[in-house]
Amino acid sequence: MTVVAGTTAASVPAKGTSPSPVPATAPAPPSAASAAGAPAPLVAASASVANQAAAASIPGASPASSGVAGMDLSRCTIINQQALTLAVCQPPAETWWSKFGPTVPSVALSLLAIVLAVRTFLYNRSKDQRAREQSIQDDYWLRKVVSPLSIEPFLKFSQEISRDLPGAAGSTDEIVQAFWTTNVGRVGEFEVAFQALGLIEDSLVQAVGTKLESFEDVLARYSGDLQAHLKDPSTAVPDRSAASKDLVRLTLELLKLIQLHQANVGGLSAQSSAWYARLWRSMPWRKR
Amino acid sequence: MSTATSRIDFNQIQGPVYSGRDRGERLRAELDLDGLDLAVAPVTVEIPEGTYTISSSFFLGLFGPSVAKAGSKDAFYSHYRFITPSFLKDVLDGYVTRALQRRNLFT
Repeated sequence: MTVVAGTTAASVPAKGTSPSPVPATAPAPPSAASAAGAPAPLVAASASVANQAAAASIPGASPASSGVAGMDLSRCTIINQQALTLAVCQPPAETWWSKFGPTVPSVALSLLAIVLAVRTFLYNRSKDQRAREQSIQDDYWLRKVVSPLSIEPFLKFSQEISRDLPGAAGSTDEIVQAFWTTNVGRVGEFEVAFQALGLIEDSLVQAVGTKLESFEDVLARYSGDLQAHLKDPSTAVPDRSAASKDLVRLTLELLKLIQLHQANVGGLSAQSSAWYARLWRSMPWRKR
Repeated sequence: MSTATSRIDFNQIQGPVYSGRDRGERLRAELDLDGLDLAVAPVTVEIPEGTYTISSSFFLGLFGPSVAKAGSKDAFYSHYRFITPSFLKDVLDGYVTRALQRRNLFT
């Protein structure tokens, strides 16, 4: 029985340690594992190992159990040849973590990149859709239809009424009454005209209608108080300047509703936007 | 069911300027107009000569649901008979028209 150089008992690794590759004078038998690039199997030969195999009467290749001192031969195959006995040992099996652990950072980054790419695609798509919607609403319906029909005439009306609001001096009860009945009718016409906003957003019609009601309330209260004063000069003179400012303020609030809607096309409705704006203004940290 | 005519007298309501939707809605609840809508007998609405203005918000808060239930001007006026100063006739008629337009728009 020939002992391969480098495989004497002294050079056998201590029990419990992984067997290290041992240079052999005889060429190592080719194996499928080394052809695939796996670590070269340990090749060891010893008389006692050969004796074990011989003792087990197992001719040819066979899995060997631990027999050599300090060496785990459970992963070894003993090959008995005429002049040589070889133990071909496979490296210890890799655990899942040792195999895939090093790849975790790159896999995680790849997944993150995929998620970001999908998110970017969806965002760009919604952005383009929103821009298209805004273009259709803003360029055509608002500028060409709704604005000439309702917004522009109402702006003009609001300016005129604020300018022509009768004062106590030079007015009579009949003049004030005629002023009020004429302009109440005109506000009613604007309510019909603003229904064109339903082409853009239904909730905008109701929100604008509420502002028009408030506009008319200011007109009714001022006209009524002025008539009361003209009939009975001992009553307080209504504040023309304050009424005029209120009319202007309500006009701007009405326009703001439409502006808010345009800014949020594809997002919140005008009423929802106004509600969120009021909620934000009511926050404690905003009150100084 | 009583067939006696019911009456809504604006002399009993603080005026002579009537404005604000909230005020109209509160008055509607106080006068139980929902019940009057279902009554067989017509309701007389008296608006005094001394009235200066009635805003649409007040009128629609008070009578808006009744107009919507009636469904038409004729049906509303046959149930609610208004005795008003002449300058208010066209104004109130315009409010009834608006209530019917809103009903058609939002139903």
